[in-house]
Amino acid sequence: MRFMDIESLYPLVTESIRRAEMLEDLGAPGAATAHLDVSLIEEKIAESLPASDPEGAVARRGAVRAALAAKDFTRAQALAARFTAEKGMIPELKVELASLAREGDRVTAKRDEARYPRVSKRYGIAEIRRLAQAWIQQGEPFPIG
Amino acid sequence: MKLDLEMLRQMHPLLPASTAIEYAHRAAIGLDRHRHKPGVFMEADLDGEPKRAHLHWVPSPTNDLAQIDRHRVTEDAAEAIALALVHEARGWVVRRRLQRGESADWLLLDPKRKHVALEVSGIDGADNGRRLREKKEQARQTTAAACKAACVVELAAPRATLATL
Repeated sequence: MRFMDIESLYPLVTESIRRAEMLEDLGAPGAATAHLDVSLIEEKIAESLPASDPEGAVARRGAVRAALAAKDFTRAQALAARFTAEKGMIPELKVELASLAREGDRVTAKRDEARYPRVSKRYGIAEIRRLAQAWIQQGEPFPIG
Repeated sequence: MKLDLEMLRQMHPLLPASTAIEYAHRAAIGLDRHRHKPGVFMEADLDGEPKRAHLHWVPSPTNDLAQIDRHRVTEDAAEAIALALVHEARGWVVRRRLQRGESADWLLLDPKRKHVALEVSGIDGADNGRRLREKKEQARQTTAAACKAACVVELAAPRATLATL
């Protein structure tokens, strides 16, 4: 993506937020994609502004929040983890990002429990996730460590 | 105080042109719905201080009303009037829209370049103070800016109340 300054990104994020929220109100299937657009623009804004800048903090929360609204929980958690690890991260924002990440975690846990009720009851969703993560990381289906 | 709703983009350069046009158009529809004419007097309450304002807009064709959701018209008309009001009365300028969950609609800068988070709400009828209380409570929750404000716009009167927290 080419470099865009804040003066170009702000009208874009304003427009994208309005569009995503309008589509969400309509229950339109494109709402999730529109929220993902918002998340990407917020991430770009976050790259231009430090976390200590109030506008940088808004953008970081916005990137995570929009990923959650897009139901892309993996992205939301990855962004929250990346922003939290940034140098100069302010404690208040860290708490807010952690709270957003927990929200993503709670939603994915609920979704996974509904999707795999028997195994989640028997082994617990945390264990299933650990195995799934190990499977993804090793790049081969078996054996799982 | 003259509030020209066609000049939103000039007041707020970072407001997208399409948004400014939509807001002005929907404000025209919303105000026309209450049989107001351009130049109508609006009572403005700025942190308890009464101010006289006059709203100006370009009227829209009457059949436009049937094509747009009523609630959306009220909300967008309120946004247009509130953004014009805070610019003219306080010199605030829009930086960006805030997402739902931030507890405010807009992030603005005041003339001293301090951030202001503004929550806007629109209603067709009269507010008995309840909506303003709700919106003030909501704006209080935001962490987007240290300075927080809520603005409720009543289209029927028309009347706008701005409360800085």
